Amino acid sequence: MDGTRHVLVVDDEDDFVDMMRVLLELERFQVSSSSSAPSAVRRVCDGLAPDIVLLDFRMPVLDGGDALRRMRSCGLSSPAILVSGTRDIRDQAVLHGFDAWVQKPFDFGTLLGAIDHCLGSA
Amino acid sequence: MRFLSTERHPDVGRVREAWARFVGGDDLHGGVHDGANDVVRPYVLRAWERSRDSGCDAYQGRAHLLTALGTRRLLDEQAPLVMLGEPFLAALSRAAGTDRHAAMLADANGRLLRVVGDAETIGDENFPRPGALLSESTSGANGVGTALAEDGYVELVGPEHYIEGFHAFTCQGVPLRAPGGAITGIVSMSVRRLETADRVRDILFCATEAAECELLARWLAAGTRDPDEPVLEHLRQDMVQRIAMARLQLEVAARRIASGADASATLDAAAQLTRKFVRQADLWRRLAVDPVSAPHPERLRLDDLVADFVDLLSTEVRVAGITLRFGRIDPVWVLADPRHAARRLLNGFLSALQVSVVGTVLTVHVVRDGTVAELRLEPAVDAAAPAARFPVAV
Repeated sequence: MDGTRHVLVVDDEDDFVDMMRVLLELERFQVSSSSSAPSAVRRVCDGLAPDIVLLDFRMPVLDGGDALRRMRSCGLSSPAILVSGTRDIRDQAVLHGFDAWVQKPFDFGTLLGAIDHCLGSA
Repeated sequence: MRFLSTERHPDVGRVREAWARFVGGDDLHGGVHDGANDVVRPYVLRAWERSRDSGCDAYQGRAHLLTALGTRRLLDEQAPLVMLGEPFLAALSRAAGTDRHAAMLADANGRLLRVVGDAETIGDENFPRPGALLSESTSGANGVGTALAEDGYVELVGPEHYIEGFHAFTCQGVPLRAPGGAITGIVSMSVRRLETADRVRDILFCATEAAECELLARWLAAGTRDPDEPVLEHLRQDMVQRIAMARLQLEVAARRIASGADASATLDAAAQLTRKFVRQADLWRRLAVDPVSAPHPERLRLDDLVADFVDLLSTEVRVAGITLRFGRIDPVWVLADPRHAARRLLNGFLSALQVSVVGTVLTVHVVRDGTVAELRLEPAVDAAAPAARFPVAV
């Protein structure tokens, strides 16, 4: 174990996922990503075990809340952060059992702070 | 916003001589030209003249400052602008890397609100700090005051600054405009090395455009007539996603610039996103913010409007599991009220989406038929039944 933390990023915008990957890898995270919520759920259910999950809310087929519920039912116990532009992000995060939320658009430092906070308390 | 990466720099030695003559009382008329090239760039000479006319002291040690109480009040009053600017100043500072620099945000009166930079630069007691008055009338030609006075981007290299104490820096300033176009602040970058100024110029433009988009997004959110209308809220969120991506791209670009890598493709992508956001915001404003009023028909390019709608609806359509494709698109001007036309097109698209099942491919046609132009969506609706129809403008 080299101490590298593993982040799973789930967002239906490919460009967003790409930028997140670049920045998180520069911060020495191992990054898995998916632009499809069902695919992300399948990977977790197949054994992918990230240290933390970042989920968008509005996505095709499954929204972020449903995706997290299904990941939890497959045994995911890692913290999850809701990363969304929805006005009622706090309510949605609480309703669906997220550990934290970060409203888009966000300062990348703010996101890192939320990740550190969740990993520190995980 | 103009990108000026290829603009030449002045001959600093000769500008320094011209500056000494000018502050000594010479008006420089007839003495500053060297063939076809100006020794003193025209906007710099105008700034010097304004500085001298306002009685600014070229040898003052540093910028005048508000009192501590005045500064506190200023920062309280401008807290939303400071908060908005913070991530962009951080990105600019990151782009400058280990070079000496200061990324600054000032208000529309040239009062400095925030400075982010290396410890040596911002720790210098003569360097402007929050509360510093950087309008030309108090601090002469400088990256903040001259950008305000010229109502546009400026670069001041060394002795192009009016105050001698600023001659060690190359400063650039870009106006930050509120929705409607009025200047609400200045984003400025001061660096010691000319090469650093060149390196951060494009990201300075790009960061300012992204900050303007966030101002626009806040204005739209605050002015929404009916925020509970779900589809409008969804579309607003989709627009916010563009801004979120632009911010991440700036962050990536800043790191690339700092490491000496080429960031032009990333900055181009960010600039495209911000421009797309501005177009989408204009359309969204017509749908959600503009007051309902009697129609005022204008000549509108229907095919462009439909293309903007397809762009605005791209995420909504994807979330619904539907694909939009362009079919026959006739370039056509129509006569319609912009707000009413936007609403009719939205209703047309939404009606088609509602009756479409997941997996449907909807083909978008803009068809001119005699004196009428139509938006048609097939196959989810009968192709013979237009989703929206407008009289052709003559």
